[in-house]
Order: sequence, then structure tokens, then C-alpha cells
Amino acid sequence: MKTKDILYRNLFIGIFFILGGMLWLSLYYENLLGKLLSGFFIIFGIFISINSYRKWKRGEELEAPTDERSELNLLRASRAGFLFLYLSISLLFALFGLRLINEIIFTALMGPVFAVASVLFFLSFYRYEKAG
Amino acid sequence: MRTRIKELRARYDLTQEELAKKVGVRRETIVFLEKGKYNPSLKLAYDIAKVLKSNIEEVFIFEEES
Repeated sequence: MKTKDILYRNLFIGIFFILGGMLWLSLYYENLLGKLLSGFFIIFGIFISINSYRKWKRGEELEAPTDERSELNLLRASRAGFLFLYLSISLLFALFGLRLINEIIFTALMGPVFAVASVLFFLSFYRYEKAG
Repeated sequence: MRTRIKELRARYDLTQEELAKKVGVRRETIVFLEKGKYNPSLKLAYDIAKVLKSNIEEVFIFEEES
């Protein structure tokens, strides 16, 4: 990816977070947690945008380049996360089909399953990067 | 597999960072290569050998497992 493309991508992500934060604020302005979260999103979006633009102006690297070794580690790490996700969702469908869990539990467990799969992916990637 | 990357790097006064930049990889990859913890692709092995002005066989030494 060219440097300017990375800059545009980061600016787009920043604007997305800013707009998302503003939308969140408009929906949950009465709630303290809602205000805090929306503030976090807006500040995060501003930070990403300004930081990327500053780095681009200085001619610095906008993201750490991936090479063959880190790409291989990414692939190996995604296998761990994907396997967990696949098996967990299969199990949930089986339990739902056998009426051992209802729709509410089925839906509620989807979030944690994705969260655990993501954590597994990051932990695996960290482990592979450490090992070489 | 063991490598002579560190020895050849010293000969040409190259840091790990400089060598990594020349062959288009991260510095960590050079570190793992020198430790023998990573087997490079043929292309990467060739690029490293070219920068170090040697043949692949002179840079990467494969030892038979006994």
C-alpha cells in the first residue's frame, strides 16, 4: 500500500470514529457512560487523524511494514482464532437446535465467542512473533 | 540451520537495521535469522546473500540432523 493510501485510510478511520462518537453522544447524552465513551471515540479519532497527518508530513513510516515472517505469523495466528470461532459457533448452533439453549442465550453468547476468538488471535500472534 | 549473517554483516559494517532495510524486511526478522530461529524464503535468502556479496550456501549453512 502506498504511503498516501495509508494516510487516506487512517484519516477515514479517524473521521469514522469522530462521527461515530458524535452519533453516540447524540443518542446517549443523558448517560454518563455514554458521554465518556463518545468522548473517547472522538478523541481517539482526532488523535489518529492528526498523528497520521503529522507522520506523513515528516516523511515517517505510517505503519510498521509487514514482511514474510510476520505475514506467516499472522496466518498461523488467525488459524487459532478461526478454529475456536468455528467450533464455538457450531456448538452453539447444535445446542440451539437441541433446544438446550434459547434464542436469548444464543445471541448473548455470540459476543463473548467473538471476543475470545479475537483475544486468541492476538495472543497467538504475540507468541509466534516472540518465538521467531 | 545456522547462518553467517552476523559475521558477514560485520565485514561490510552493516547494522541489523541497515541490512533489514536493504532486503525489505523488519529488523526482528534479521535477528531471528541470525539466531537460526527462522528459515527464510528462497527470495529472501538470495537477497541477503546478494547484499552480503556472497553465495546463499556461504551465508546459510544447513546441517544434517543426526
